[in-house]
Amino acid sequence: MDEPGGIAADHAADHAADAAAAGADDAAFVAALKAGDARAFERLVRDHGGRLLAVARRMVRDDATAQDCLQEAFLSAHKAIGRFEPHGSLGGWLHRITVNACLMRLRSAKRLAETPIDDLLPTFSPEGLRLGEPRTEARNPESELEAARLRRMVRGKIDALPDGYRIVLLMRDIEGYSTREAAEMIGIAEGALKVRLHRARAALKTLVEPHWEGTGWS
Amino acid sequence: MVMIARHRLRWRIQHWLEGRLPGLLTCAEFQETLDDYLDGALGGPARMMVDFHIRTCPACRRYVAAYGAVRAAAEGAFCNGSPEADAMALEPVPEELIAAITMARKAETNP
Repeated sequence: MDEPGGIAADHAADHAADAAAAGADDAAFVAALKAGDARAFERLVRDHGGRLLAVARRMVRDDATAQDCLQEAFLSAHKAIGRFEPHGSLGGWLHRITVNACLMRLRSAKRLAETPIDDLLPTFSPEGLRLGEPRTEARNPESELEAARLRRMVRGKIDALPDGYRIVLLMRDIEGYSTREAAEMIGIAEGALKVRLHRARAALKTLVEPHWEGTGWS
Repeated sequence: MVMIARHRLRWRIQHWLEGRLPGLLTCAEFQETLDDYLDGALGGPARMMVDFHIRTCPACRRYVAAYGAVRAAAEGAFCNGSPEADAMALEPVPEELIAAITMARKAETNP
């Protein structure tokens, strides 16, 4: 074990200095944004825009609309930067603003409403017994190629869900928001969100299962 | 928490003993508990009832395995670290869009 002041301590000190420098850089960057520095704003767009555009494309499924949402999100961020907490995560803050911009767009296009998906949900007898469960079984993909094919197929099936369910699934299972956060952002009760999420996952299972063969899941 | 009225529970035990139901929970009731069960949010008797149902009902056993696999696949479909997710995230923002955003900000700042 290294003595205090030895190599490990030097590395720790280096890491602390790097972290402090990065923190100071971040603080200076946020300060520049708050001061209205145009170059800092452009750097913000360049640094975070790619990841956020991918989020917007996932949410609205249309490139032109996703670009509009990204523009709205960065304008909202510009207006709200004064309220950004200096110790918060700029990336997380921008992610939430982008998701909210997409939700607003979907809401105004009436794409967030719950629509019937009974055909995709499991069925039960009047006594409550499960009907028509296929006899397929899941197994893990055996290669990266198989795994990539599986991910592509699942992404396609998520896209095939009606928006009211797809967005709930995306926000909880992909974007990583809690039930409470997702419910607040979408504007529905937590209980309603949990029900909708369960239906979304059950519907996704129905859509995915016929394609398990040849994906590593057969 | 799974709440089942006592008279319904008695009816179900009787039917279960007669071999007409696969467990103390019906499959439909099991379905309602599924996410809480997989999230580890069920405790005590409710979890035992769900465990028992899974052990005794082959259709629900298959369902929960497939449902869990689909849940995991959905969570991993866009996961960071997968080549296509990295490619999507690293894709640069089109220059025209950057120009539009910075122009819009300028117009907002100096109307």
